[in-house]
Formats: sequence, structure tokens, C-alpha cells
Amino acid sequence: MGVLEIAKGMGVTLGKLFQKPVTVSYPEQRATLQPRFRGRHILTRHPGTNLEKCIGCSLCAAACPAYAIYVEAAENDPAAPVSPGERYAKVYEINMLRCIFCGMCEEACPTGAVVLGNEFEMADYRSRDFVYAKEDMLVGVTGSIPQRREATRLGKPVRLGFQLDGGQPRAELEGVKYP
Amino acid sequence: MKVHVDGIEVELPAGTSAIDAVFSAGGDVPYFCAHKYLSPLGACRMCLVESGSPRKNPDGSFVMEGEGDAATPKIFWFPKPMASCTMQATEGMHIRTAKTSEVVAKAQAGMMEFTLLNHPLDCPTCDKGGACELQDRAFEYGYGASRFGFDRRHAEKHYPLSDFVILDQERCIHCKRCVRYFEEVPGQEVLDFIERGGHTFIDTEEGGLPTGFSGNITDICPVGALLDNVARFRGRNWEYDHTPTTCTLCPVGCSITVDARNGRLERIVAGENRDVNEAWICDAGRFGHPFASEERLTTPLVRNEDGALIPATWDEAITAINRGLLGLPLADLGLFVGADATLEEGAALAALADALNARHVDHFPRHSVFIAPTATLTDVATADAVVVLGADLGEEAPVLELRILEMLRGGLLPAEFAHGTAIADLRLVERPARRPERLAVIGGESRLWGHAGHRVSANGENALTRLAHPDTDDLKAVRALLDGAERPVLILGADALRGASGSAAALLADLASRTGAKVIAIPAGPNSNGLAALNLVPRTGGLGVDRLGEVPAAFISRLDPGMRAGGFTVVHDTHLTATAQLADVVLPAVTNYEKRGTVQNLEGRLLPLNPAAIQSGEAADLIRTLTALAEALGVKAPARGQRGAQTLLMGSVGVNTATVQVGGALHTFARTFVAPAAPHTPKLWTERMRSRDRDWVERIHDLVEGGWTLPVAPAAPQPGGDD
Ligand code: SF4
Ligand code: SF4
Ligand code: SF4
Ligand code: SF4
Ligand code: FES
Repeated sequence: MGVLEIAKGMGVTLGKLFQKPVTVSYPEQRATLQPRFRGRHILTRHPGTNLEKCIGCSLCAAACPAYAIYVEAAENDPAAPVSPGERYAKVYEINMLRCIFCGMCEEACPTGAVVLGNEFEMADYRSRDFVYAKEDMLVGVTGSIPQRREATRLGKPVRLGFQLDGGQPRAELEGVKYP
Repeated sequence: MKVHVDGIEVELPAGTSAIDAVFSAGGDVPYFCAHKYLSPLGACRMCLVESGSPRKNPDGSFVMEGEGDAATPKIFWFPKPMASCTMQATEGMHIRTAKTSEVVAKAQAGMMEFTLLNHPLDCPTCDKGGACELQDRAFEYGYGASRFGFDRRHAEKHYPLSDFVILDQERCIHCKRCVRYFEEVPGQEVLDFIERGGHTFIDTEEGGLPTGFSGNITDICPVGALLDNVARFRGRNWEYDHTPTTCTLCPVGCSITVDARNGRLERIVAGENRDVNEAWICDAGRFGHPFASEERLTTPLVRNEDGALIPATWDEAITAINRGLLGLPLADLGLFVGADATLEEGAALAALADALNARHVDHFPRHSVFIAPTATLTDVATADAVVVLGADLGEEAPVLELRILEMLRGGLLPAEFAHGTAIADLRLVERPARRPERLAVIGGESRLWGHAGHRVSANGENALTRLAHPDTDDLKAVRALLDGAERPVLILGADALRGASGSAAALLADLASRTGAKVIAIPAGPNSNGLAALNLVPRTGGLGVDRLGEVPAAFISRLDPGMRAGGFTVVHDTHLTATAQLADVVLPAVTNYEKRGTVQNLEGRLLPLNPAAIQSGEAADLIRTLTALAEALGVKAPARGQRGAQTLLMGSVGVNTATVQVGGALHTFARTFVAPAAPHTPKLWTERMRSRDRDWVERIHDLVEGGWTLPVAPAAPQPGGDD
């Protein structure tokens, strides 16, 4: 190996030194995600009627390879229905510690109710705080449980640590907006 | 008779239907309308097969095909596929199923397409989903895609036929099973098809279903049109833990499957036991279960200084019992148990009573006489005369009533094959001729009354004497029926057995031997027959449960006399009953849905219980509870668990219950114990249907009144909707 080769190699290194870095200083800076990135689930609603798309059929739970989903159904009250039709999910829970974000639930869902979103910052202290209920996943809820807890404590809006490449979530994430 | 199915030769009894021939040969045919215990009808046209038979020449020889030695009888095929459920297989018949015949496969797929034309795509919200014959068969035999791009038929989707059965008219595939069931089994013509063709729907004329046996239609409906309203939306079929066990609400002992989810008993469906309940159970057995998951006692309760019952641990309860019974002679402790306890539990209790030398021992309810059953339920169904004395079967043993009605239809039990009960027994016909003259009912009016050819109003208690020495023309006619019959069966109910004594038993034995009648005396409690074989009656100087107040101290398991013993009272029960509220210590018990053990039904059949996955905290069965009681009393526990109790039972009555099979086995105990008993009137239906969750009954009412219109924007079709 000659001096020339060493100089060439150092040249590459020096060249990189003056380029813009590709890493971001997360979490101070937001990471840029591809829209197809799969993170925390969103439970979507029908636009217009605002009824929940989920009909409590438990097919997502059946498809889940990690047994992460628990659904308990109930009968809709026709005067104040939660979803169109007779049946809705009274309890809908996903254990985010078990979930492997495979998307089988999304694929199994006959109504397109459960869709994997882009949020991923769910680190928390107690196992039980990883069980996300319906109210933690319905469309319109921004941020994970710890993020929302933090936001309430500080009295500030939730700050997500990412932005989407292109700015738009996938079409299935009907009604979802990431600030 | 030899039949060839897809090239496989099978030997079958004459009269077998083609569908059973196929299943005997190990083949498969999809079917919706045929049902094991109903008449074959040919309504759904799914069971198509190609079939052909050899034909004979005028000289009696077969029309042959081929030359010389290679010649075989020529098979003349029917020009079109035939419905195999209504076609009788004949000697030398050849059958081709979808496995070997393109024509059949195409015909079945086409038939499936017709069936699905008007069937909504409701599977995700339908309680039948996952256990649906239509789903399975569409997957196996259908085209796999729909070519029907138009709007489907719309009908009432939310139509409660009763508080317990809900109908979705859109899902009905017009198999007519439910209609035939009501006509043929309980003999009630309530449901029927209304309108014609694509507009056909199921409804009742009167509105509402008669209670008693209506729930069975939810089992036999091949789709989700008729569903159990109590279990509505409680879980999907694959989420339930299914436990095959025996219903012990009454002495019939029907085979059931208990479906539990998350530790709650959500649904009961009928199991098949050809000897006992065939495929039917009563509504009390099916819908009377919510108590098992509502307001259960989950920890022991101990009365504190202020007189309040407070939750405690088992250890604290044992200490409290020990302190409460301090100084009491052990022989003075009363031991009382409900007659739905298992044989094993009974054996453990009898052994503890022996160990304590206890006198006040009893089980309740029971009759003062023990009349060993000589007839089986199959004998009832195949009898040529049945006389029912002083029984209200709806409250005492409902499914026995169905077996009697089966007798009226001629007692045709469907044949049995290696693949199980015949799917289509061609001897069963729609609107079978009934023979009411073969049934006599003596006593008060009951549901069976309307089916009987001979009805005699009589005071139940002396009805037996009057039947032995008939004094009126009516009774003489009944007696003549008994005398003239070849296979008569005599059934005695609570009214006839209440207050009966040894002389009544002798009179009955005499009557039975004179007339050749076999006898079933309906036991007072679900396992009274079995417990009678154990020494669980007041012993010398002892008091029965009817004189509980005079017993110095008592341990009472699963009984609710509504009073306490003279002194310290320990109650072992599933709920905080009136008796438990008066007790000093309450121990939590498990229901019979959660037990392993054995019971004996009214025909003397030993039947197994299996534990379903129901949440009941620290509740314990009687065997383990007696271990705790023995500890509190400072004596050695008779049995530490199920195994030990089985050994005890083996020692005391010589029966090994560890080997009892699912279908059960008839057994007669060599010895039985009797003692005078307080009169008792069984109230199965009233008791079981009492604790209803008001909420949903009202909800269903609201839904019907509300007309089920949803504030959904009607214009754009919902994504994921069915059409
Ligand atoms: S993404 Fe996969 S693992 Fe997670 S809940 Fe859905 S199916 Fe289960
Ligand atoms: S999210 Fe979808 S699959 Fe899961 S219960 Fe709801 S409707 Fe069914
Ligand atoms: S309601 Fe069910 S059982 Fe009755 S005809 Fe329709 S599909 Fe058959
Ligand atoms: S007849 Fe008796 S054993 Fe059968 S389901 Fe009804 S209550 Fe249970
Ligand atoms: S036509 Fe329905 S099973 Fe044969």
C-alpha cells in the first residue's frame, strides 16, 4: 500500500466533512419518515357520519400473530350508535408491547377500521401503560400515551418526533393529520 | 345391499339414504336442510350427486354391458344430478360425488351461487361466523367469487322472535329446519314460511315463540338467521373455550357444550347423546346460565364483631370455623348438601360424616322412597304406551317430555352408522302421524296435557293407588292401555312421589309386574338418584334438613333453606343466598359447570361433568371445601381431591367413575338409603329464568320499537359494506 492510496482515502473522508450530514439530531430535530412506515395503530371513522368504522368483529384479533388485540363487542343503541350496523367494539385494546407491527390486523379488517399509522414514540415505564385502548387510538388522537401525558403536564400541544416525507399519511389513514 | 360411491364399494342396510351411503364410504356431500333428527325434505338442493342403478331384463337377469367374463351390469344413470338426502340407495347403485364428477361439482357450485344470491355478507358481525355451515360449505364447494352485482334482498334484520331467540330474515336460506323442528319435535306449529320465492321469510303467526324448547332452533339453523339472544355479540366462535359436559339443572342430564370467554360463561349449546337428549335441550338448560357469571362469591366471608360479613382468606375462614365450633361435640355438626352435588362430592361428605360420627346428615331435595329406574329414555321413546302420573315435566325433567313426544310419533330412532347418526333417515317424514291414544296423563294440567289421548285430573298422591284399582271409566281406560301394551312405561313425577312411602313402592312394583311396565320415577334433584346410593340421609337420632333450626350447628353446601341452624352455621354456596346472609362463615362454591365429577340421571346413567373455564376467584368444590372443614375440626380429611374421592366412591359403592365415558353408562347401585323427606315441588323453569339481566330485555324492546333506523348518510355506500 502506497502513500497515494492513503491520500485517496483521506480525500474521501475530507470530502465528506464538508457535506451536509444525513443524520438528524433526534429528538430535538424531527426525523423524516417514509409514509409507508408502520407504527402505532389508528382506528378510523367514516367521514361524514363520524361513526367508528370498527364493528367489533374480532377478525383483527384472530389474525394477530402476537395475540396483541382484545375486542369485546356490544349492541349499538339505535338512538346513539357508535358504528353503522348493529355491532360495535365496546372494548378495543392493543398491547403495544406484544405487537410486532406486522400489519396483519389491518389486512384482516373488513371495514378498514384499524390501520397502522406512523407514530412510534411509545416508550414508557410500566407494562400496563402499553395497553392502548380505543380512546388512545381513535383518529384525532395525536401522540402516544406518554407523549400526551407529558403534553398535559407541560400544558403544551403534543410534539411528535417525526415528519412525513411528502407530508401526507397513506390514503388508508383516513382523516389522520400529523402536525 | 352393496352401493358403490366414487368407486368404493360399501355394504349398507336396506333403506339407507344416498347421503348416508356417501358418508359411510368416507365421502362428503354438502348439505343444509337435512338434519339427523328431522325428516329429510330436499329443500336446499346442495346435496346433489350423480347416481345410477342396474336394470333388469324381463327375464330377471341384469342388463349387461361388455363381453363374456368381463360383462358387468349396465348402470343406467339418472339424466340429472339428484338430491342425495331424499333418495334411497338401492342394491348395486352407483353414486358419484363432486370428488369424481365434474357435473356434480359444477351443479353444487351453481347451487351455492343461488343460495348466496340473497345472503348478506354479514360474516364479520354474525354470531354464527366461524361455526357456520354456509361459510364452510361455500369455502369448500362454492365458486369463490360473486358474479351478482345487484342489490340483494332486504328484509328485517333485527327481529326478536322472543326474549331468547333473535331472527335475521336476510340471512335465512330457507332450509326449513326450524319449521320442521317445531312441528316434529316439540309438536308446536308456530313458525312457517310466509310469501313465495325470493320473498320467502320466516315468521310466527302469533308473534313470539312458545317457551320450553325454542332455543334448539338456534343450534340447527345452518346460518346465522336464528341466534341465541342471551349470547348475542358476547364472543366469536373461535374465541370461546368449548367444554363438553352434562347439564345438571334437572335429572335428565342432557349433553351440553359450555362456551366460556374470559372466564365468563357466555353460551350453552346442545351436545349430542343418542341415549339421553338426542340433539335437543330445554330452554332452562340453554338460557338459564347467566347466574354462573353474575354476582358470584369469590372469597370466603366471615362475620365480624359488628355482625357484618366481610371478605376473608380461606385460612381466616378455617380459623373462624374452628373457633365457632369450639366445644361442640363433633357428632352434633349437621352436614347438608344440595342434590346436584356429584357422586364424588357425596362420597367425600359421607366419609366425613362417618369420621365425625355425625348424625344430622342429609341431601335435598329427595323423596321418601327410592324407586330404581327400570326404563331408559330410549325405552320411553320406543314404548307403545306411556302413562305419566303426577308430573309437571316442564318443571321437573323437560327433555323427558320430548322423548315422550317422540314416542307419539312412532318412536323412530334414526339409524346409527360409523359416521354417526344417520344424516337423513328416510323413515322420518314431515307431519308424522301422531298416536295420542298411546299417552295418558294423570294429575294436574301441564304442557303435555294437550298431547295426551287420555287425561285424568287427579290428586297426584293417590293417583297410583287409583291406577292400581281403577275406580272411574277414565282410569279404567288408562289401565286398559297399560295392560294391552307390549312395551308400556310408567313415569312418576313429584306429585305422585311426594309423601309416598314404602307401601307405594310395593304397589308400584306390583303394578309394574302385572302390566309389564317399565318405570321411571323422576328424582327430586338432579343427582338424587346417585346420592341415594351414599349414606347421606339422617342417621340414628339425626335430623334432616327440614329441621335445620333444631340442629346445634351445621355445614350447608349449595342449599338455600332460608334459615340458619340452631348455632354456628357455615354455608358453602356460589352466591350470597338468603341462607348465606344468615351464616357465620360463608365459603365460596363452584357451580356444576366448573366441576369435574359424575352424576347419575333419572334413568340411572352415570354421566361425566367437565370443568369449563369460568372465573370464580377462590371458590372450591365440595371435596376441597370439606378438606378445609376437616382442618377446622381437627380431623383427617376424607379425600384431598378428585382422585381421593373417586377411591372413596370405589370403596363405598364399587363404581369407578374415572372410567365414565362421554355418553355415560347405565349403572344400578346395589344399595340405596332412604328416609322420610319433606315434600318438595321442583321449579326448574321458574328458578332458572328468574335472574335475568333486565337490561338487555329492555334494550331489545327499544330496538324493535325504535324501528332500527340509523342516522347514517344514505347516499354513498360505506366502504367495506356488503353491496
Ligand atoms: S400489527 Fe401485527 S402484531 Fe400488531 S396488533 Fe396488528 S396483527 Fe397484531
Ligand atoms: S378493527 Fe376491524 S377487524 Fe378489528 S374488530 Fe374492528 S372491524 Fe373487526
Ligand atoms: S331461519 Fe335458519 S333454520 Fe329456519 S329456514 Fe331459515 S336458514 Fe333454515
Ligand atoms: S332437560 Fe334438564 S338436563 Fe336437559 S337441558 Fe333441560 S334442565 Fe338441563
Ligand atoms: S336438499 Fe338439502 S340436504 Fe339434500
